[in-house]
Amino acid sequence: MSESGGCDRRGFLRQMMETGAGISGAVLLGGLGSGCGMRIPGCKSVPPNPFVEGGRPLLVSIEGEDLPAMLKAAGEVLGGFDKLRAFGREAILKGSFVQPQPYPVTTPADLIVAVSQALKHGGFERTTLFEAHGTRLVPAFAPETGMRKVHVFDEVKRQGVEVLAADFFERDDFKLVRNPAWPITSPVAVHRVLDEAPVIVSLPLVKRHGSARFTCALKIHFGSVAMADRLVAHKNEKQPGYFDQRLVHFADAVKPQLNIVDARALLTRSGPGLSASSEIVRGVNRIVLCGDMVATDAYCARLLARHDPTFAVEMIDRQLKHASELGLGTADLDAVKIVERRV
Amino acid sequence: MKRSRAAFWSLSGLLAGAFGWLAGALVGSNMGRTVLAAAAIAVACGLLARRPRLAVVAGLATAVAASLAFLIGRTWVTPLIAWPVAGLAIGLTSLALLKRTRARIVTVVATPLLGSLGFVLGMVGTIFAGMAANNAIVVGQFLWGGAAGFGLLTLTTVRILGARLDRVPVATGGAS
Repeated sequence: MSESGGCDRRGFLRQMMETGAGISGAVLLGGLGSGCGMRIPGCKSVPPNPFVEGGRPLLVSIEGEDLPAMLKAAGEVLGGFDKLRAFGREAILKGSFVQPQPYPVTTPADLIVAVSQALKHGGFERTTLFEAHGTRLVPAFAPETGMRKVHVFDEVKRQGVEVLAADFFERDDFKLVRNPAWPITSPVAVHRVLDEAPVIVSLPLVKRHGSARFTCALKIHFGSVAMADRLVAHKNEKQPGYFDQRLVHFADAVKPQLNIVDARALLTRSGPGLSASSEIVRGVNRIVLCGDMVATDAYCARLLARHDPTFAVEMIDRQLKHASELGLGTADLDAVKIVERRV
Repeated sequence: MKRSRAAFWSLSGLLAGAFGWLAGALVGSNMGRTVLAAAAIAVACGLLARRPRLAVVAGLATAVAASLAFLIGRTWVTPLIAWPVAGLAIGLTSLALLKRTRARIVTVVATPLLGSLGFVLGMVGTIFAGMAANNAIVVGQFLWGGAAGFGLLTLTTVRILGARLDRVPVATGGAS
């Protein structure tokens, strides 16, 4: 390193560094400050639930074995999937791929394809399967790896469904949102694709969950937010109410227009992955469609309780109550128009 | 006196890494942020040594090396190998600042190793701080913390090794 010249250059360099430090500090504080209360937009607003009857949300539960026929029947009861077409030409299908294990741990390819075809029949031009579970920072845990292992990735693409497997560590792909009504004031980083999508159709499963006790229409949106939000939620799961509230906030940040629950089989006793203590109940042969996330969970929790002696609907009362308080829907099934059919 | 100068290099490295990472938002991906942060640290190294041309060359060389490593790392091991590779690029370009062979060898070997250690410590520190504060925004910035830690230990390494092993008269504020 060469000998330096005079004090002026030294002073100039020092001043440059100080200026840099000042700008960095300002940007840093501004950035973190934005997380502490400033400049964070609210959660997206969506049009009212289009699937209602007499002012009550419509919930359709179809029993059968022919999935396309079940979807067709459900669509007819709902008044047609083209009701969603008014919101946009493209639909995001939010799947669940938390573990590389087949249905009912993960959303099956036949449901994704059948929903895509039903939506396209209803006038949609494009459907994209979305999930944010994995990171490209570790190639073996890349976001599409789980979908590939359960043979969903290639199969749905082959059938004309686009796939967006998002990296949950790609910070720039997520947008901070907040609802002033949340008791936990921290914002949530929701994936931009979901925040901007005109139509989201959620494809939950009915499963037990270690931390949430139950996972379906609300809990599926853990896969819609950045990993950091999930980590902090899990860290606080022993704190009464925190986890239940947070999973509702994640769902609030997404607000799908329609939930199509694949309850042909249920994962009971423990979850969300298949383990020695969990049990798959087959033969339920039901799909549940509803525009109301809370009603969907209230109904599907009752369905699970009928097949899982270790589960009771009261175990998720806090989630349902909080979601209702935030206006995400109703947990009172008497206020829901339920149509049950067999095809 | 030497200690304060080394601290100045360390602080500069930390800020260059952190500021480069923020500037990478213009590119809008982890790759863009990694490349810009690494390049900013290399540029800072050249500027601190009062070698503007070297700063430009080091910045470009580090950017190219980090980009290639990131792309290769996407399919092999991890894109995070861009950090030790950037450390190596900075170590190699800082050879021009050193006169003695032993200083050069040790710098080339130590810079990627200690820089990577700084990256890991910065990353882990950010995650712990965020988790302790229940702040997902801070946790989500763990790579930013890693970039700052990398800059801190990389420039500290170049500066201290230069001062300890390169017995050549030093620039004020530079390594000896």
